[in-house]
Formats: sequence, C-alpha cells, structure tokens
Amino acid sequence: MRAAGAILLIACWAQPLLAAPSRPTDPELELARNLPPYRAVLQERPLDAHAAVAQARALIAEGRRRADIRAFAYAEATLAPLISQAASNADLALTLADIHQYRHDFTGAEVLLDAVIARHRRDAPARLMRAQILLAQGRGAEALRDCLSLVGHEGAAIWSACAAQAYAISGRLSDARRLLDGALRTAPTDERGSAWAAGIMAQLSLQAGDGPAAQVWLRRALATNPDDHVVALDLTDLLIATGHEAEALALLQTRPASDAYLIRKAQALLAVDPVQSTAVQAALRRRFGEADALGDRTHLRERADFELRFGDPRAALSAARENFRSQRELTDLSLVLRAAAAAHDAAGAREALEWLARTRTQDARLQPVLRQLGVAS
Amino acid sequence: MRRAAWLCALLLFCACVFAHGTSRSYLTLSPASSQSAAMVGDWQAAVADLAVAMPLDANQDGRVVWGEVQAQEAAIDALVQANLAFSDSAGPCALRIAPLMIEWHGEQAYVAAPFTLDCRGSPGTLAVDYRFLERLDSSHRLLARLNEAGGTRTAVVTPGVKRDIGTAHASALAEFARYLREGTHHILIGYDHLAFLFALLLPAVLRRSQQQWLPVRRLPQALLETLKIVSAFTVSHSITLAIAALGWWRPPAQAVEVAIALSVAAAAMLNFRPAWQVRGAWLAFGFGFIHGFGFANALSDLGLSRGEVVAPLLGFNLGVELGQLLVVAAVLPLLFLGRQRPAYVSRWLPGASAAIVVAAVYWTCLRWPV
Repeated sequence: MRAAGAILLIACWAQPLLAAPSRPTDPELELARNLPPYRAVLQERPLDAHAAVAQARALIAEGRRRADIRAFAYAEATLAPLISQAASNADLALTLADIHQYRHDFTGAEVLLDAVIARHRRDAPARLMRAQILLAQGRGAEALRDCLSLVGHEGAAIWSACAAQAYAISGRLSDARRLLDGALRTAPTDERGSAWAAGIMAQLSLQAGDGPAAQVWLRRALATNPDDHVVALDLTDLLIATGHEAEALALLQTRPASDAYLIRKAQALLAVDPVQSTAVQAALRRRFGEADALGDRTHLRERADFELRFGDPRAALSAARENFRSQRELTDLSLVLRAAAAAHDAAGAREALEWLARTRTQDARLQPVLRQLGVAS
Repeated sequence: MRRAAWLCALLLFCACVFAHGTSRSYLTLSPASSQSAAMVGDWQAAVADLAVAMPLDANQDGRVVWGEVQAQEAAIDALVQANLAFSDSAGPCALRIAPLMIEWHGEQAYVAAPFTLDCRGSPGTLAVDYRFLERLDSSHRLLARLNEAGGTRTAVVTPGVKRDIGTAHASALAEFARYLREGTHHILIGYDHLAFLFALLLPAVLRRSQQQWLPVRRLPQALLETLKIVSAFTVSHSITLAIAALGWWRPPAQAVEVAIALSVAAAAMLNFRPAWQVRGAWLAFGFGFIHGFGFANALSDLGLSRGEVVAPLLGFNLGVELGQLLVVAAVLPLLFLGRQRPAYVSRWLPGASAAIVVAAVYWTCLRWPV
C-alpha cells in the first residue's frame, strides 16, 4: 500500500495538476480564514507543569473541535520538556495518553494510563479514557471493568454509556440499550454528558436495526454538542442511506474538510452533482497518496471506506484488514466484512469473523453482508 | 474541578476525524540547464502553518490576506534561509529567493518561495537540511520532488534530519538499471544511429563476387558478418563514449551531430557499388568513433556528473548494445529471407540506401551551423 501511495504521490502531486504559483495583485485577497488561535496559545510561556498541561489541553480542545491533528503535535511540543514528570503527574500523563491515542498509538496511551491507575485506582478520568481506548480495540470485557469502576464517581449517564458500549460488543446489546435508556430517562447529568450518552444510544439503536430511533438520538446529541464528529458522521450516513442527500450535504457544509467528512460529501454528491463528486474523490485520492508516501497509518479506516465506496474492493480489504489490527470498533469490523464481500474474498474476512464470533457482537446492519459471506446469522 | 474539565475533553473522545492529515510542505528542484550546476526550485508552506510559525495574521482577525503576507515578505525570506539549507560535496549552496507567490492546493493556500540554488559540487551529493516547524510539529514533513533529465524522484524529509537528495542517494544497481534503460531507449529512438545500422545491415546478407552482389548461402554467414559489424561498432563507439564521458576530450556537439549525419550518408552510398571493397565491419569501426561522441552527448543530457561515472557509463553503453541487438533481431531475419529475390539487389538495396542518403543529407543540412 505504501508503494501504491508513492506511485499515487508521483502520479498525482508530481504532475502539474494545479495552477502554477502566481503573485497576487490584490492585497485583500483572502488566503485563509477562521484560523485557529494556536499561535496566541503557544506564545504564552507556561511557568510550571500545571500551566503547560493547561496550555496543551487548550490546544487539544481546539484541535479536536476542528478535527485538526496539528494541534496534537503542538501540544506534544509544549509538553516535551516535562515528559520525565509523567510518572508523578496524572494530568500530564493523561494529556500525553490523549495525544498517543489520537495518533492510534493505543499501546503507548495504555502504558501511561496503567501507571496513573496503578497509583490512583479511583482516578475516574484515567479509567474513562482507558475504557474508551479498550473499546476502540474491541476489548469489551476489560473496558467493562473500567466502566463499572466509575459507579459512584461519575453520573449514571456517564458510567452507563461507558458500560453500555462494552455490553454492546460482548453479545449483550439488549442489556446495553435497557441500561442506557434507563439512565438517560432518570439520571440528571450535565448537557455534554447527556449529549455523549445520547450519541451512544444512537449507535446502539443502529446496531439493533432501529434507524428511526437512532435518527432521533443523533439529532438530540448533535443539537446539544455540535462538535461531536462521530455523531455527525453517523447522522450523515443515515441521511444518505435513506435518500436525504441534500440534507446530508447541508450538514456537511459546516464541517471540517476531514477525510471522513469528504468521503460522505463525495457519496452524497453522487446523487445530486456527479461531476463535483468526481472532483472530491480526486482530492481524496491525492490526500491518501500523500499520506501513504509519508507513512501515515492513521487514515486506514478512511482509506478502506473510500476504496469500498469509489475504488477497488481489494485495496479496500487490504486497508480494512490492516486497520482492524489496531482499531476494532464496529465501523472497522463492518469495513472488513463489506470489503471482503465486495472483493469476493471470504477468506479475507476470516479474522474479523472469528472476532465477531468470539465477542458475540450483534449488529443488524451486518446481516446482509454476513449472508453474502455465507455466514449463518 | 479536575474531573469536570477532563470529562469535557473525554466526552469528545474520537480518534477518527483528522482534518487535513499531518502538516506538510513541498519542495521542487530542477536543473537550471543541462550545462550548469545551478538549480531552480520553490518551497511551498501552507499559510495555516506559516501563521503558527510567525505573526502572519497581523491584525489577529483569524484571516490572512495577501497584503499581510507581503508585509512579512522579508521575514518569510529569512525563515526560508534559516530553515532550508542545501549543501553538496563542495560545501553549502547559495540560496537566492525570488519574490513570493501563492499556489492553491485544493482549498488551501500555500506561500511559494521560488529560488535559485548555486552549488559547486556534484549534483549526486546534494543534501538538504530542513528545519521548518522542527520544534513545534513532530509530524510535519517536507515532500521533495526532484526533476532530472532522466525523470522525477520524490523524497520525504523529516525536519532536523539531514537528507541526501542527490542522485547518489539511489543505489548503484538502480542507477545502473536506469542508465541501461536510457541507453536502450536512446538507440531505439535515435533514427540516425538506426539508419546507420540499417545501411550496414542491408548488405550483410550478401557477398561480393566479381563486382556484383550475390546472396549468402547460409544463415551463419550472415550472422557472422552482422556480428563483425556490431562488434566493430561497439568497440569504437565505446572508446569515444568513455573518452567524452570521463571528461578527457569532447568535440563540439554540433560538429558531432553533423559528422554522424554524414557517416550515415557515406555508409549508405557505399552500398551502391559492390566494387567498392570496403567491408561493413571496417565502416562500422571507423564511423563508430563519431557515434560514440554522440552517445556521450546523450548521456551528458541525463545529468551525468564527474563523481558518478562508472555505473552510468557501463549501464548506458550496455543499453546501447541491447538496443542494437533488438534492432538486429528484428531486421536481420527479414533481410535474410528476402536476400535471394532478384529485386533485393536490383531494387531494395539501392532503393533503401538511396532513401537513407536523402535522409542523411537532410539531417546534415538541418544540423549544419548557420
């Protein structure tokens, strides 16, 4: 794939595909807008570790909101002089773990969190972060332990949402929905916590095949917290799947130009403006080519998704399988199975199918593709 | 308080939505001309990245307009000089930056700093020491594109890690293979060399007897004659190719081109009269010296420098031989099959030779200095 990336890089970028550089004549020509305030944040010189962590967190929050991975590198640079203190500073360790996980270095993140939890068994933020990292790797049983340790330390909506995610990838989807539904109805929590739990409720509804309920939860989650990209992506997918491409495009208009959003944009445009869709696909292909050439492996999920929708199913399967080695959320599982079915390569799905059987994960959306792969549901 | 702050962050936990991937800048380098070691190029950095590294957004309104870039032009020049250093075997290269420009990569504006680069050593030893965002963004990379006569190469450069980007960076085997291909390519598209070879091969399936052409009886005779021609040509052109490629002596390129055209005409004209007892092998040997200088010019156009002669020279020369053998393999069987027809001697040989003479005279006129 890396070689393919290099070829793409040469084929796409090395060709004069864009207008040649020119010197503008209008001093008011806008070159960039809505720039993040990274420079202003970075210019404050933190006097101690506490201030440095606060600065790093401010950068990460901005980057997360804008889906801009550069912010994580700036945060890392801010914390670089303090790394030796990570063993004794829980907030510093958590921030570093956050940076690791955002780059898909789950092992590095886990090592830092394990150390924090070893010292402070009841450190709720560390437990919650570790649970999310374990869930991202499909390790439901281990995640459940961290989720349940939050009982009494976090609101019911928070620990219930955490535990429900673990149940949902351990063959207990009904329990998951019942638990979270109950918590959302009865337990008061802050707005963000509620929005997060609503987003997870939506995912559980999707797993159960209840699209209309999922849509209600997704809208509710997004109304409270517009910065939740997972929810926005799920809602966009749902809108496209139900033939509401125009609404999906309207939703995407205010979103960052990330790979995941652009893939949806290209998909929605197929129905309303195929020429524009082709242009978006070309831009994505160029990006993936460059990322491959740079050895950037964080885009494999999007690469697989892109190839599956617009490209070569075999390339999709290759990227999906590589991605599945580190990320094992339902999206990642689904990509492997759908790519294998599209490529008529049931053997390519073996590892994912074994994992599915072992965890007893339930997802109504997978049934058609499982039938295609000849797996009895 | 701590818990609330962390929850806020954790509830947005998502490892899936990267905006534009990691930060990157672009470098393009091309030789200014085939005769000099100077290079031209440009370095392009995203406005969004420059705005983090320097106070580009002067009024801090979250927008950057061209006027703000213009106001920082001197500072950007200084930033380029400080973060983009080239060197080669002769030491640091001089970087001269031209007025800044803008290029759009999709929806992202990049500031382009065009420059000329004066290096005194071998292009094969060119290295870049890149430092932009070194202490700020560990995932930032420079994507370098190097245009050479033989094609385009790309390299990914990490800030703070000095990187060889000259042709010496490629393995000797890869270089050899590249020049082998170039040599074959040169002979296959070199119509004057092909015409010369064809003029010599036309009578290789014949023998002279009492001032007339007769067909050879058996294939080995034709093969032996062809082998002599090709070997003689190889020996002589290899000598002059090496002399020129090693920099010992090189006649003016235009004179060589004219001489090659004349050699083609001469070789073809000798086919008209079998009484002119000049053997093809001797002709090939004699004129091969001239063609060797022509091959050297082609090799020089590929960017060969003094520091990296052996593998390219060997590869290119073997490529030429390979190309010759391909031509022989394609042409000789046809000539051998047609040799016994009366028309071969009466019409085909003089007709084809005449056509070659006409073409060669035309090339001579074209190449003649005016």
